[in-house]
This record gives sequence, C-alpha cells and structure tokens, in this order.
Amino acid sequence: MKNALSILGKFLPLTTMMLALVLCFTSYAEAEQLTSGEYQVKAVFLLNFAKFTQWPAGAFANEQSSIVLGICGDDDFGDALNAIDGKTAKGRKLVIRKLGKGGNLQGCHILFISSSEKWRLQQILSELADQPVLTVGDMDHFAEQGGIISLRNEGKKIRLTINLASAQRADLKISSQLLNIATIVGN
Amino acid sequence: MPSYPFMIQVRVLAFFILLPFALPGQTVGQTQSPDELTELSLEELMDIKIVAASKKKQRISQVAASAFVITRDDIRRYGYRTLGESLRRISGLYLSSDRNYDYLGVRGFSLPGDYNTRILVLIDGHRVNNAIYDASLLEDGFPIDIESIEHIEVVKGPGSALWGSNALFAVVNVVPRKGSDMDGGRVLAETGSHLRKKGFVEYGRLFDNGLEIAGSVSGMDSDGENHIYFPELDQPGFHHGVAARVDDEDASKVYITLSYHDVGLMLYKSKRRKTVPTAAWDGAFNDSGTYTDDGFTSAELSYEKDLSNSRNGHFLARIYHDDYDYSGEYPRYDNGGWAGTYVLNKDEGWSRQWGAELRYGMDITEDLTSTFGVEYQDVYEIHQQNWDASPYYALSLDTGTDQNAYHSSAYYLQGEYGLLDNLSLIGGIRLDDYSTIGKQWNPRAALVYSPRLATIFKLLYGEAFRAPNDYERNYDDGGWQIGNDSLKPETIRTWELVCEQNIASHSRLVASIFRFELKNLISQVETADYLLQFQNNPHTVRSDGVEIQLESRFENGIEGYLGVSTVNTKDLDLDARLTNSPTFLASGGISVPIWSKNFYLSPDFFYVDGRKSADMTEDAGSYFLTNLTITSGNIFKDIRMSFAVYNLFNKNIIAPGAGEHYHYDPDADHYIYFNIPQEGRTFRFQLSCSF
Repeated sequence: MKNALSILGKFLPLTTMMLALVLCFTSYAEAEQLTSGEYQVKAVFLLNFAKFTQWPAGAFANEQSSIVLGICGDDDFGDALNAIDGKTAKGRKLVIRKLGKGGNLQGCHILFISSSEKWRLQQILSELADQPVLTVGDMDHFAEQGGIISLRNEGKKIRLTINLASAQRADLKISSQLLNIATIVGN
Repeated sequence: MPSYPFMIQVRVLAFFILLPFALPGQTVGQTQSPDELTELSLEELMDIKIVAASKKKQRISQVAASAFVITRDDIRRYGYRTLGESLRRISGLYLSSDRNYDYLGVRGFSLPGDYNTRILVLIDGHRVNNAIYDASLLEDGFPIDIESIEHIEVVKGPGSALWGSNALFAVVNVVPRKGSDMDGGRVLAETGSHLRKKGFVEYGRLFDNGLEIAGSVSGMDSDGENHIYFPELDQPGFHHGVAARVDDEDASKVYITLSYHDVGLMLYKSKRRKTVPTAAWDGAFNDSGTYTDDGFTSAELSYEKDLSNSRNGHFLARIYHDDYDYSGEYPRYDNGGWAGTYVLNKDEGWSRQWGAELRYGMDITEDLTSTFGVEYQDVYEIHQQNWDASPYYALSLDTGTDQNAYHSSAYYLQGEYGLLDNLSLIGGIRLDDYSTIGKQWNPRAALVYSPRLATIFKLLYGEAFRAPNDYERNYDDGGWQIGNDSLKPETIRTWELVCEQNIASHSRLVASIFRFELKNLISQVETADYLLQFQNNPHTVRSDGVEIQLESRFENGIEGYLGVSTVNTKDLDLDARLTNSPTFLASGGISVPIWSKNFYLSPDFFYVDGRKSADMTEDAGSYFLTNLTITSGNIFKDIRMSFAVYNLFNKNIIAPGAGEHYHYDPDADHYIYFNIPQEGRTFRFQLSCSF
C-alpha cells in the first residue's frame, strides 16, 4: 500500500496533466457547432451547384438524362461522393464519373478538377472550350484562372468564388442564391 | 522526482491545473453524417466547420496497426533536435544515449550495445538501416536534417510482412519536405550550450508545368559537454572519472528531391563525426582522439502512377543505390593500463548496394483490394577492417570487399477484404530469400472493426524477422571476437488489440494491449576460449504490455499529448527482466499559445522507470526529464524564433552501459564497468527567416 502511494506521488505532475487535458475537453465542449470532413462538405456543395445552375437547352439529350459529374485527377473525395451519388437535382439524377488523370472530359455537365491537375488546368479549360460545363475546383486561384466556381478553405469554413465571365462563356446561368453567398470575379 | 525542489513542483502543478480556466472558450464540433449534410441549405453549408483532409494516400500498413504521426508543427513546438528526440513522445518508446549514438527502446526492449537494429527506419519508403550493422542513426547521424522533415509516421509492431528485415518492433517512415510543402526558401541559424552552432538552408517550389523541386543543406557543430563525470571511474588513473572536452559532434547533410508528374528522384548525403568520451572497448580515457564517422549517400529514382481504370490501379517502381561508410579511431594503452604503450587502433566498414522494387495495387472486386510486389537488393561490396596504425602496424581484420557480398529477393502480397461495411479482414505475407540465410516467410493478419465512425477496434497478429548482419557474421579479429556464419535470423511474433477513439474533432485516444515473443535473439556471448561471438540465444524473450496515447489539438491553438505504458519484458527461461527495460514509461506535453497567439509555450516531460544496468548487478534508476520550448510565429515579417531548454532541472540521468563500457584498472588489477551519464541542462536558440 505504501508502495502504491509512493507511485502515486511520483506521478503527481502526470496525473495533473491528465486532469488538465480532461478539463480542457469539458470546459470547451459547451457551445456546439457542426463540423464535418472537408470533402464531405465539398461533395454536398457539388450537389447544390447542380441544383442552382441552369444549363442551355441542348446540354441534355432529353428530359430523363442525368447530370454527369466528372472528377478529374486525384480523387480526394473517396467515400464522400456516395452521399450525393444518385441524388436528384432539378428532376435529374446526379451520376458520378471518376475520370482519373487521363480520362475523357467530354459528356460531363459538372467537372471537378482536382488540385493534382493544377499544372494542366489551362489545357483542360481550353479543351472544354466554351462547352456548357460547370467547372469546379479547390486549387488556389481556380476561378481567377478561368474556372467557374472555386471552393476555398477559409479558416475552417468553405467559401465560394465565382467567375461570371467564365460562366457566361459556357452559357450557364447561375442562380442568384448561389451568387449571393459567393465572391464574384471576372464580371 | 523525489529530489525535485518542492516549490518548483507546486508551481508546475498549479500551471497545469489552472491552464484550462485561463484560456478563452472555444467551440467543439459535432460530427454530421453525410446524408444529413445533403439536406442543409446553402447558408447552413457555408457555416459548417470542416476538418481538413490529408491528401496523402493512406497506406494499408497504417490502417492495420497502431500508428502515429509526428508533424512538423510538433517538431517546432517542442523543439526536437533529432529524430530520436521526437520519437519518444509515443507511448512505449524511450531513448538512451551512449554518447556515441542514440538508441530507441520499444516496449521494454533496448539492449545496450544494440544499434537500433530491430527498428526499420525509412525515408519516404527508402530503407535507411545499413547492411553492415543494420543501424539506423537517430541522433544527428540521421541522413535527413530534422528541419527538413515534413512529418514522421510511426507504426508500432511487426512490419516484416510488408517491409522485410529489421521491422521487429516498429517501422518509422520519415517524410521529408517537398517543393509544394515549402513554396519558397528558408534560412535558419541556431546556437546553444556547449558552443552548439547550426546553419540550415532550404528551398522548394512547385512550378506550373508540374515540376517540383526541393532541397536543403545543413551543418552543425557542438563541443559537447566539457566535463562528463563517470563516478565508477573516479580514480587518479582515470582523470578522476572526468572526461573533459571530448564530446565534440559535427554533422553535415544535403538533401535534394525532384519530381515531374509521375517520376521522382531523391538524393541525400550525410556525414557525422562524434568524439567518444566513454573510451569504450578499454580505450584511452579522456583522449580526444577517439571518434566515429558515419556517412550515408543514397539516390532513388521512382515512378508512381494511378491508372485511371475502373479497378483503381496503382503502380510503383523504384530503383536505388546506397553507400554507407563508417570509420573510427580507438586509441588505447597496451600492457600496464594507462601507464602502458599508446596504440592507435583504426576500424572501418562500408557497404555498397543497389536495389529495385515493383508494386501494383488494385481492386479485385468491390470488396477486395490487393497489393503485390517484388523487391531485389544486391549488396555488391561490403567491407570491414581493423588494424593498429601506430606505433606498429598490425592488421587484425580485413574482410576484403566482395567475399561477403550477398543479395536478396522478396515477394509480397497484401489484401484487404470488406466483410461488412464496418468490418474488414486484412492479410499479408512476404517471402524474403537471402543468398546467405535462405528463405524467411512472414505473415500478418488483422481484423478491423469500426462500430461507429469515431471508434475503431483492431485485432492484430504479425511475424517479423531480422537477418544476421555482416558485423555479426563476419567480424573476426582472431584474438578478441570471432565470426559466426551459421547464425540464424531472429524472429518475433506479436499479438495486439488496439482501440482507437476519436473524441469530438480534437482528440484521439489509442489504447493497446499486446504480447510478443522473440526467439533466436542474436546476442554477443563469451565462448569457452574467452572470445566474443554473436550467437542465437536459445531463450525466449516474452513481453506483455499496455500502452495508452492521447493526442489533442484544439481550435484555439492548444495542443497536448500524453503517453503511458507499462510492460513486462523478460527472458522467459531465466524468468528475469532484460537490461535497460523499464516497466513503466510516461511522456506528456502541452503547447499553449501565449502573447496574442504568436508564441507557443510548450513544456514536455518523459518519465522512465528503473532499469537494470549492463552488468545486471546495479540499477540504473528511474528518471524524470523535463524540457521547455518557446516558439514564435512570424515576429518581424518572416522571421521566427525558438528558444528551448532541455533537461530543465539539470537532473542526473544515466543510461546502462553496454558490454564495451568497461576499463581495466591496472592498480587494482580488475575491470570496472560503468554506466553512461546523459546530457545535463542545455539550451538552444534558433532564428529562421522565410523568403
């Protein structure tokens, strides 16, 4: 028993440190706020972009055609895309197509360009020419470089930048609800 | 602890107790399920706090084990000077120095005189442990400067099913900084106790065309402690046990990495010289002529590609070349102890090798992913030599350069099968085939169960081995130590249950219980002819233990960690504890932003319980080591500073000496074995500037 006490005494700083850490948890756990994985939130933004964008008449073969979301380059989303795969937007099903690094870009309505493709961004954008494809990216200065919607991490939140000129060239109409919460460039 | 001044203790306690109250409140998140997220409005989405994702691909090896990451931020905040210093924050790991090299103990295993041979150290997947001694240097001898490290991945437990030899207790993968991590340059200068001086320059960039370059150069020099007292040697013949001004260290390192799309090139070169104050092997005590030089030179070319097919194919090819060079001088007195003839002995060794690896991973079905690979290594030159250079030339060992050359090939297969959405079975097996010791099979299996998003249980079994190295097989000087080419590999089997719990978004708690059994341990013994020889120990070493690690990162900038472990590692046949095997370890640190959050105050501590010393009669005692670091963010423009005090309370700490730590006392005509005093209080001041 004496032994047990002396061991306890030995680890007094240790025990208090443990206590301090536990107190840290409890005293900070009061106000709750929602947190989620970066790419889970980004995936949901992609779904919302489908809802708040209007494509020109010829962009879909018929009324039943799906909205095709292409992921170009490294897939940073992983399982996060499962939550939006097959969901509907404007009465159309959202279909996800992972294109990898060399996949065919044609046939997408929304194209997410991963930061792994930073080095060939201009090449991708010019390949799409002025086709009605909503380009989305999370690399630095994506919208400023001619992409349409940029997802930025600002602190712990996600912020949008929209390049209106690029959207107009692609003949896409972006809802004011989306424009209201975004920073606009290229106007 | 008992000798701790009482008031200091009280103040330290008060600091930790009051800490949580003294800080501004903050919010802590609740995790949202992905399906709930899709129901949110745009405005609500904008308000969600995110946990930034790591873009690094998670390796299968890290999933199925008890794994930890030490970040660059940790290195800065706690002022780690070496790789070894950073590793001991992880529960179950402890560090000892013999003032020549540093040695990492894992789970109660750190036999004095063992050159970190049972831990596999990698630089971005490239093996560091050399072919002669299996050594991976953890002090300033480590080839990559601590300032050039982006993060360190530590996987405890056996790793031979994936990595081959040496991965008995842990695999440590050091990931150096790449161009995209730096995006610019940095110069750093530091000074400290014992005239420590260090300079470091790095530059890296990712260019728009996809080219990524990075590199660093560093040099350090320290006089070391100019008064090291060895109480066991306190006699007139041994300068009253004081080694004065014989603790110099200097090191220089260069690291370059280059990548273009899928092709990568990595080069590094390092050299370190350490004066050895212990005069090991009965050398001349208090003689600045005893030193060791260690140098690593490596080049690796790699090609890594994600194949954009439906099976998520991933291909990796590597080809590399390694040089390791060692030399040392060991002056001694012959005949008549310190009054006898002064003899200069020289020792050297080098190895040259090249190797290649191919790996391919893919999804076989939706639920089954697998990786397979082949590896080949050719140690085409390996050399050891020992001779007396003066007063008379006398060669005692020369192995030549190619008579002990060897090669090995390996084949491995790993698979992960999703039994249920939250339950997967992971299995792997690797065959290593050596031209010296033949074939070695090492399997592993894991069951990973995640009942909730924040909770993971892992049930693990694994085997690992270490092939006897060239030093153990072939060091034969005729009169002192003899070789043993019939050595078998040593093997380990480990069972482990790991539970990981994420607490909100700020903390991670990892608890594990384990047992390992080590057989055929290669250790040095005295033969019937009073010669030393490495032999396979017929005894089994068994260890049972528990480890707990808590790591917290709060949004207000406070971070902390706590590691506690208890272990019973013993020789099963003798029913005796091993040398240098503490049964209890604790480490902890807390890093707090101060002065408008531009500075961090980070105290940390390490407690190591009592250990048996090398001659088994004495206890090397327990110790409590405290360090304190103050680090700043940018103070003027891009200038940062850091000030650290190590061994804050200047505790006398000793590490058990090894078999080579003895001296012959000619007056008393007997041998004195001694323990190694560890570094006393030192400080370091660092300034860096980014451009």
